[in-house]
Amino acid sequence: MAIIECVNIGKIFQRNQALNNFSAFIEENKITGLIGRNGAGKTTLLKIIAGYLKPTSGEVKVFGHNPFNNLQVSANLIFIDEHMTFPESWHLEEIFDSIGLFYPNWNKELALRLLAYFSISPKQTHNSLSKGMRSTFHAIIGLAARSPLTIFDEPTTGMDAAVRKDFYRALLKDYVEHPRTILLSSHLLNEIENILEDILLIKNGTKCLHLPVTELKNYALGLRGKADALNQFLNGKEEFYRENFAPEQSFVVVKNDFSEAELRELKKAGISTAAVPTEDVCVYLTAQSKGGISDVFNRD
Amino acid sequence: MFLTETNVLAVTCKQYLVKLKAVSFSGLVILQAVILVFWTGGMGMYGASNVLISLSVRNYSSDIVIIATMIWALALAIMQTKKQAKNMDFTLVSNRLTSCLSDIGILATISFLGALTSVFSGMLQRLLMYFALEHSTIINSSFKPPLAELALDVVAVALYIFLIAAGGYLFGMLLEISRLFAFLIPALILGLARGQNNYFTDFLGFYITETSLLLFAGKVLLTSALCFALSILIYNRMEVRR
Amino acid sequence: MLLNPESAKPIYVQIAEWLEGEILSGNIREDERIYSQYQLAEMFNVNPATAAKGLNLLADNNIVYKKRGLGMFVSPQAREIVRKKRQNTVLKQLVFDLVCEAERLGVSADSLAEMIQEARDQLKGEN
Repeated sequence: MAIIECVNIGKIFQRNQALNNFSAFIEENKITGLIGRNGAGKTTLLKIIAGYLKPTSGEVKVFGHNPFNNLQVSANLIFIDEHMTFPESWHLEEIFDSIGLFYPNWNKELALRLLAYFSISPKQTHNSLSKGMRSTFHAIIGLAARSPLTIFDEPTTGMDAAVRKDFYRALLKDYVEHPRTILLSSHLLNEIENILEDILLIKNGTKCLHLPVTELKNYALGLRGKADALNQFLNGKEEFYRENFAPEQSFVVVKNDFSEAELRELKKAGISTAAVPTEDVCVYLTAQSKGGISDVFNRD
Repeated sequence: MFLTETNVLAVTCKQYLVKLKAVSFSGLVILQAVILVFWTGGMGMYGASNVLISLSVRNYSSDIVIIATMIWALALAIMQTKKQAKNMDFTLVSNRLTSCLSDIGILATISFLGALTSVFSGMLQRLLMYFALEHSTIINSSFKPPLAELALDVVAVALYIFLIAAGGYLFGMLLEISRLFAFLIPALILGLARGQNNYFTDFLGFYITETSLLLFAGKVLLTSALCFALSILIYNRMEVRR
Repeated sequence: MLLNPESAKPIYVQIAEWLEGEILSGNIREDERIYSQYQLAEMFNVNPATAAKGLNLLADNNIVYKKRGLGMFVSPQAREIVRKKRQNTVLKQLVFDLVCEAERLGVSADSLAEMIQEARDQLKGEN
């Protein structure tokens, strides 16, 4: 069942088109990763889903209702980002208590335990936290609120690698025990890839790809070999990326729809094949040009 | 299809509680105390003296405390409409309506508390004078006003503060639409006040000259309700947490 | 439990292979209940859906069977299936790669066979 339905939504800020004809359906009780480059429209999309922003065109439904200014939708979701605002003078435990007022599934005990694990004192005030600690604190709120729809917009900004790992681990553990719909945006796929069920790739404000993350691993194939030998195999294949790394030598990333026989042929022709890491697949799919950064330096 | 059900009243009450805890009343108390100390010298003074007698007359009034409280309430009302305050609502469960309704609750509360403390500070001032000015004669028909009159004072002052807060809230909301209103509204008021027939004074008179408390309350509450309704209408269309 | 994220093999295949290994080595016996998707999710720190896909891979090959409401159990003939499957897929692939490389280097079939024999002797000598 789709908890979030976006149909042809567009969003224009002044002259900047943040979203353009974006459509996607996100199913209940799945962890979906929203992946895209900076400025691809991730935050705008999430804020439209949360009912903060109004799309310029198209239709959004969350739990079957238009989320904009909808109290019921708001009561069923929590939006975690680095801009969460709390009274400046409050210490963290007071903030926890106020969250408990609004979210019936709130587990304060878990929140306090996580806070202790990450060595943050509950007596500190919110604005005395460092950037990374603030992100950690917000992430803890997102975990312990156990809201039916939990949205994390770049939750790990400023966290160090160890905390990031712990957070994703905690998120997965809590999700296994309390399944809920989780939307997680990031520009780094590799650290969240394993805990995701679906991946939603966004490019220039439109949907680029939406599929189970397990299929992304086989989505693309990297081919390395002599350029002219390679080209024979590329008829009718969808090419994502091409780099000429040595004279006559090319590395090409194509959509992986090769048959067993074709793969054998490739091997015979001395072309080596390699799976493309999902992170790289995303980079190639969302790149503006096919040659990547090398194109900038190739003047001829 | 919702897993959690809620309603406007429940959310409004919770938001009100959170905001009440966050509002700093100590600022008001300090403000009033400072004013009390600095103005205890007296508002207006005239004197006459010759070789034998020196006479000086001082007027004491707690009006200045009330005015300061009104300005404080006005500032607080405008602050409530600012992004920072609104983001706080929308960090947790909220919609535009509950956010505004809980603001109204807070403004009503601070109006009442502001009135209470300013009237009380007036009493404090009298007490100070009583002890400080041993050799003077205090001329006041109601130096020890009956309790009923004090209560009436509190209600009337609270209503004034609430009216100003409502105006401030609407002004703040208009500012959120466009910064231009920061010039337009004062210009409008000045324009109305300077014309051939002074509309602004008429407007103020509509409230000030009202002698029946009940009618006065009716006028104030109706105007405030209008301001808040307009604010909610404006806010309902606005995007948040941009 | 660590998976190899750099590997060309999808995570769920790696999980399936790990489970096959456990069955082959006898750590999980026949007709015993196998880990649930949620247990696997926690063990490998992966999404339960991914773990379920790994289990389904085993079910498709009749290595495990479903008992309604009870979970998945190891089939009686599981070890045999795993052994055959490995022989047919993994070993065959390795042999193909071997032949490809030999072809590229111009190594004849006979000398390749010789090399294989040598490797076998070496293995035996070590044991």
